[in-house]
Amino acid sequence: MIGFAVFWLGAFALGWLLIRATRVPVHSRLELLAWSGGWGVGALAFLAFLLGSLGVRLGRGLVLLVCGGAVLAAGLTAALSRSGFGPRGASLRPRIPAEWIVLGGFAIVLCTLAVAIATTPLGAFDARMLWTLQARLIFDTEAYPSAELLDPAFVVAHPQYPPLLPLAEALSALAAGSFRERLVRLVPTFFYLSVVAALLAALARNDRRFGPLLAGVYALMPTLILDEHGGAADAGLADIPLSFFVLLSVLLLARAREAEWRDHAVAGHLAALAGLFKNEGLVLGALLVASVSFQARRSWRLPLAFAAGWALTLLPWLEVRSALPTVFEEQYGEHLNPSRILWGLDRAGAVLGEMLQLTFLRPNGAGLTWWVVGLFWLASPGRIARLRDVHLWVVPAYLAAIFVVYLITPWEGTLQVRLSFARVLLHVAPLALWAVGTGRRARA
Amino acid sequence: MTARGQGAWRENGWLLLLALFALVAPLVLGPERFRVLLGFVPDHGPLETRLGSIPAILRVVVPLGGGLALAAYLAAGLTRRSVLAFAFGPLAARGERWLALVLALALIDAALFLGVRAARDAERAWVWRGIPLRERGFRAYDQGRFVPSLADEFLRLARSRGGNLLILRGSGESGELGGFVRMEHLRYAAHLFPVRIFLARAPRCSVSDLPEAWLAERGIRWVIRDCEARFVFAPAPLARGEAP
Repeated sequence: MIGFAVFWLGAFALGWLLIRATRVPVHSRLELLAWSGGWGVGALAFLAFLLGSLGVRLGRGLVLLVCGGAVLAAGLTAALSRSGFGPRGASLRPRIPAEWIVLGGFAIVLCTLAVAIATTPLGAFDARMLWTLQARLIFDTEAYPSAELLDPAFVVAHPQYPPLLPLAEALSALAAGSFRERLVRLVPTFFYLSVVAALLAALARNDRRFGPLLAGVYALMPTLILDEHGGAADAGLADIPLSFFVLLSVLLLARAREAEWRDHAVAGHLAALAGLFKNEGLVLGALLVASVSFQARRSWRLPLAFAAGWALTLLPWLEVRSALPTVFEEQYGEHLNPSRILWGLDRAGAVLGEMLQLTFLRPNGAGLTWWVVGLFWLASPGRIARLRDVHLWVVPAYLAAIFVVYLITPWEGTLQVRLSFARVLLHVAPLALWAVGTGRRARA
Repeated sequence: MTARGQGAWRENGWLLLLALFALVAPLVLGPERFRVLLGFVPDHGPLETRLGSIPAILRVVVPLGGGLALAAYLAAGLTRRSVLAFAFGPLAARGERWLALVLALALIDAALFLGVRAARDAERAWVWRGIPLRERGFRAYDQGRFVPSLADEFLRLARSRGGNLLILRGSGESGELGGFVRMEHLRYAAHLFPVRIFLARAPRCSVSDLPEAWLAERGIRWVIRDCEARFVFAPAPLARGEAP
């Protein structure tokens, strides 16, 4: 258990060091915790991926050395720094009964998550047969990609799926010294806390009136608290880490200093980490590249910095992925051609109907989240300009891209929509809530 | 915070509508339509199908919530208070009352399903009391042709003898789940790890279809011949001549 604690401390320390090194502006202690924890876990997994792809053995000693080193370096840096660990920020103590209700609800969610993780086995198909199996393989072989993963005969679901979630889970198990499902399951669940905290800090700083309640709408979304197969916070899936890095990337873009290419490059790197947790993050990253380009019409340096940060982070993975076998991948890239899209138009109505139903009419899914997003957007001043200013247009563009994917998918009818769209909505829910919750002038 | 005269009754009208809906819907719609309304159509997950009482929980929780909403409506009307102004403070008084209302409805919906989650977890804890964690996994995952207890039995054998498992497939289209790779292969692969499962095409459904070096490289000691229409989990040790 000491090793497990060192892993988590190391993740926070590494994230904190990255925030300091890149001079990312964070405004409160809560935000610092949210960003450093999530980013730290992602950075550890990314580092392990780079080392693994170079053939370095990912042993327990190495994990503890990196994590322990990060803790030591962070401690020394903080001790030598005038500002210590960072900003304190404003108090977020609830001020109205509705905020107390949200806080009480969130406390109940945390209790149910803790009890579920301690007492129930993983339920979701992808969590058991995809992410956890790959994590166990990494733990067992101390390698990524292992010889088994490169072997087309080895039975594993989707060997070409992105590596960061199984790597993060495996690293936590390696640090702990044994692979226990209950412990590794904390990794994806931890990202739920990180998203809630990052969203709350950003929204409350921007609008102390509605901000905490909008963050509460996300934290208590029925999808996140109820459906073990549809993306609940304790389901062990990669959707929430993806949404965390997309949110971080957009927040950093919104607070990037004028003409500061470094902030844009870091934001691009964060967007790429989303793609390294789940394939859909690649689509969102590409849309963000386009969005940054539209936003900075006169300057080419900033979009270039964002695109470079994004592409350079992704390239090693694309190289490794090209060597991995396609066991039964959906091969969307190959299906994306005019004739296939025309073929898929037959089911366009059914797919769209199912998507709309899951977005707006499932009280046990997204609940009223997307009604809140839509109405807050309608009520915001300069709403058309805001689509571009806070990258909100990325949300409908992403859902349109997913619609096309559902048209060309080899899955039968609307089955894939029913199985996955609630989780797809989770990818962009924090971004959408932040974008509509920001005030007249976006201040991340 | 306070509303004058009839104003409070009118202002809290949304709460009355909500209360009436929650009290009447379960009675009028009947169990099946009520189930569909709340989105609990039969799903693909094993836990939901076993814990089929969620709709039953909702049939209690929803009217209970309706009763609470009605009580709150009456209390607020009698004391001439606006519920929104009470819960949301100044947010409900700046011409943005409807935003507060939509947030209130979203949070009420969330609270309802938070109650459902808590009730479901309590029910599950009751069903699973005294059952060890691994056995709980069996009950949760026992689906179709995946039988966790058989897998466990094999795991014990494989641990003592060592080696990995080969599944021979005579046919089946590559690339799509259910074709060459079956769902059962994946389920057993996840359950049997660290025993590795390898899948190979074998036209005669025989180990001799594969080179010896291929078998040796993967440490194959067990084989399943999956060349019929149905998958049957019956691993057999490789015969002496076949074993690498």
